[in-house]
Amino acid sequence: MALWFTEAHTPDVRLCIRAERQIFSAESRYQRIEIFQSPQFGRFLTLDGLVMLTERDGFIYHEMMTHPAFAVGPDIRHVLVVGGGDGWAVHELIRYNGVERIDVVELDEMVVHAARGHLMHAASAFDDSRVRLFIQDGVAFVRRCRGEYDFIVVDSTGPVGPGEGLFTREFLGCCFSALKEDGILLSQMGSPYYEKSMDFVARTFSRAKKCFPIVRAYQAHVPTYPSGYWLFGFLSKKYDPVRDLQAGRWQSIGIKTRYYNTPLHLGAFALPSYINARLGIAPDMPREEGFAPTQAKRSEKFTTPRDEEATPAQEVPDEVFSPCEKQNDGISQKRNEQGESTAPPEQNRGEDFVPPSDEQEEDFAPTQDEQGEDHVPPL
Amino acid sequence: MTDQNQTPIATALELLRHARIVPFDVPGHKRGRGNRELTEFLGKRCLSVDLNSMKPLDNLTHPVSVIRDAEALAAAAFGAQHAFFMVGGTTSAVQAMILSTCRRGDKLILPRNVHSSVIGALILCGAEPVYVKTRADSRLGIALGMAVEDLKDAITRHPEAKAVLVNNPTYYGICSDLREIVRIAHRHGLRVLVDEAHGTHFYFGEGLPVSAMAAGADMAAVSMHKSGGSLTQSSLLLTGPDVNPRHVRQVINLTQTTSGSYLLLASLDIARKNLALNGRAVFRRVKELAEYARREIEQIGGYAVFSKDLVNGTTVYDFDETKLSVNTLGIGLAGIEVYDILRDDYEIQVEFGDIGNILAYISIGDTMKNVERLVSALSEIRRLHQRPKAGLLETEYIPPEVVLSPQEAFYAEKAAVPIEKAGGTVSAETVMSYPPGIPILCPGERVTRPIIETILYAREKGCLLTGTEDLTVSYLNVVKGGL
Repeated sequence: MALWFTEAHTPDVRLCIRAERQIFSAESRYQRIEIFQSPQFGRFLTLDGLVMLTERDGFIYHEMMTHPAFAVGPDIRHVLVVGGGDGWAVHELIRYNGVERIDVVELDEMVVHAARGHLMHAASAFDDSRVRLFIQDGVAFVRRCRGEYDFIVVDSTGPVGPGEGLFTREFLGCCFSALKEDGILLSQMGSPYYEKSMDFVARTFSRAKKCFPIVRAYQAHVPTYPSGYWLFGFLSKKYDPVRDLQAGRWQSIGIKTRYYNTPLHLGAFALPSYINARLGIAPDMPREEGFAPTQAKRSEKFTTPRDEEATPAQEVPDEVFSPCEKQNDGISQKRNEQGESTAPPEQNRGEDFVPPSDEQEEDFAPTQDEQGEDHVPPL
Repeated sequence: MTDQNQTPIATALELLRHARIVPFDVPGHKRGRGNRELTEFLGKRCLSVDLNSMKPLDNLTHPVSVIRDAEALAAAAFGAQHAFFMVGGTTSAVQAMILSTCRRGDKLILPRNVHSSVIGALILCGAEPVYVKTRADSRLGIALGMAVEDLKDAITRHPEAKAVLVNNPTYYGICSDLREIVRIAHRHGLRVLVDEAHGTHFYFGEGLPVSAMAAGADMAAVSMHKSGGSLTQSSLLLTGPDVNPRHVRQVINLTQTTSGSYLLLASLDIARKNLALNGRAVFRRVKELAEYARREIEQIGGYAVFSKDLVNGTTVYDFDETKLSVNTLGIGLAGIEVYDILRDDYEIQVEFGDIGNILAYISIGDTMKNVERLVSALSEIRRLHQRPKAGLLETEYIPPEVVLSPQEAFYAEKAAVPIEKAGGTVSAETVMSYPPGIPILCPGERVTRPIIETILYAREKGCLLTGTEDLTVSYLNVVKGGL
């Protein structure tokens, strides 16, 4: 018997992973949690049918969600992980001796339970004496913190569903308050390839820019995530991830990584033109001279996110579209001609490859509807 | 017909959906086929039951079968003698209460903070308003409930009055001593009409203030579409044992459409079933969410959240804990400003913002996740926008001087004058700040300096001002010649 796990990345694209057996399956208050054993990716964890991590490629995502901050921020001691109940981000963090305290705020206790029982890294991570685990809503937790953390990791499921609150302006603003004066926040932002998902990335990016003086996107390839290509956000009060990279200092700590290294750090912030265009990032910025000092100056006088001056100058080139945007339009056009579906096709399209919103207590997610409306292709 | 599992109207529609009857009647879209764009927009299921009165579906103006049965079920669920399904909003239910109780020249005792639909009814029937002294909380800038002493005083001054109208609860969740008001009014031969637009849940929740029917009121207008979960514009009119339902039906039919929407009627039917079967659990959850939000918002500091602490035994006899009203003056912002920032910066829409407060409507459809977002956004607004308190008007309640009846003033010879220069005149129209739709000025009332200032201030702060003929609210129609 062949057991194939299938995740629809879009209505027209699927990822299938052959599984040898199911290790764990349970329905929590918030989501369906499953762990499978597979020949290619080892064990992998899914929430509501979406792959969260696999034992084989998980190092890419989790290294990129943690180490870049340590290579830039000089003295990270207090860390907050929002989400991350699988324990892998914590596993990366506990490798730094300088880290004194790691607070993990996970909404769903059952994720921690499943990970501790069946995934590598999780047990050792949560047993570390520096780690405190809080089972509660991350939004509520962060609201109560003031200037406490050097570094916040937002390791969430996605912008629709249980993790929805972690992509909002109010949450990012509360994180700003929860960080110390030179604090750094790293957050996953989603896939920049498929148009619908890029839309979420762009929204999150623009919200972040209203909350932090320095907001930069960076990239990594994650084979099991939709499109295999992922974006992260580097949000910071003081340090620029490129200008302030302290490569030598980080190397001297002697952390052995499989994906991350400091030359890659610099490269990760160099984004393809179509992404720059969508995020309103001016391409080919002369970082050494003009841009960085100006930004530093701006960040000093940065007081409130409503201050217009605070956002770095943007130059959005005219007439630049991402290739996938066109491609998707073509697809929905075709669907309409065939008259396959009476429901608007773009809504179907959206529902499948962003994490679903079927949190148990809620039957429909307004955000999802909004997204659908925002994204009506020209017919 | 007492089984609350039944939904006579919805069931009849469901049967017709499958009956494949050839429609040579209205509506002309014929189950949606005639308007494809609308059908795609609303869905085929929806359009297929947008039907007109016919034998299997009864007739709203003269119910003898499924509508009668559905109304009987609603009456049983709400503990009323009779329930009328209304499709013109609670406005039509409020007006039917007054029009079936008062005639031209009759006096109606009422508080100032009534909904504009009440003033509309007075213009229609020619009854005269007798305002009960309406006390305000100067700190929160809101009108409070009806104190029993003030009602007694109004009855002593106008013993010939026909009825008393009570807002219970107010938009903000303030309740009056309804049982005592009913006792006193009935002793003096007055009918008690309750605008219960914001109190549907009182009939089903636990530990909530007393409902109008339970308190013995004669009529109540209940907005099922607010806390009850039916479609917008659907509403209920409830009557007690001493009211003649046939007369009420005639009055309703004076102004209500003869093509009542079956979408609205079915939504009333289904919402009633849900409330009757699950209401207790639903409103326990709503109350928990509101209580959690109340505690969390208090912790932010700066905001004052309405709670049971307001209860004083008279003007605040009870408080509806499902309501989440937040006074924002403590952070130096008008309610309407916070309302705008919430929507523009945080993608959160609250029910309304007035000069001093916002109201976040917590209901049957809310989740903890969204409550957390609201609380966090309020916390952020305080951090980023807080400013000194100076320069804010703290109250918008001004006792009116009634010179003419609303009907006389509304139909008088009029002149349009700039609002700034209207001091001393008698208004011929209504000025409301919307929401919450409570008049600042009614037809027949003296325009005074404080009233002008309130209007200008509300306009400057971005409240939606309505009621005037001039849509920019620069000019006011006043009674010509002065009085």
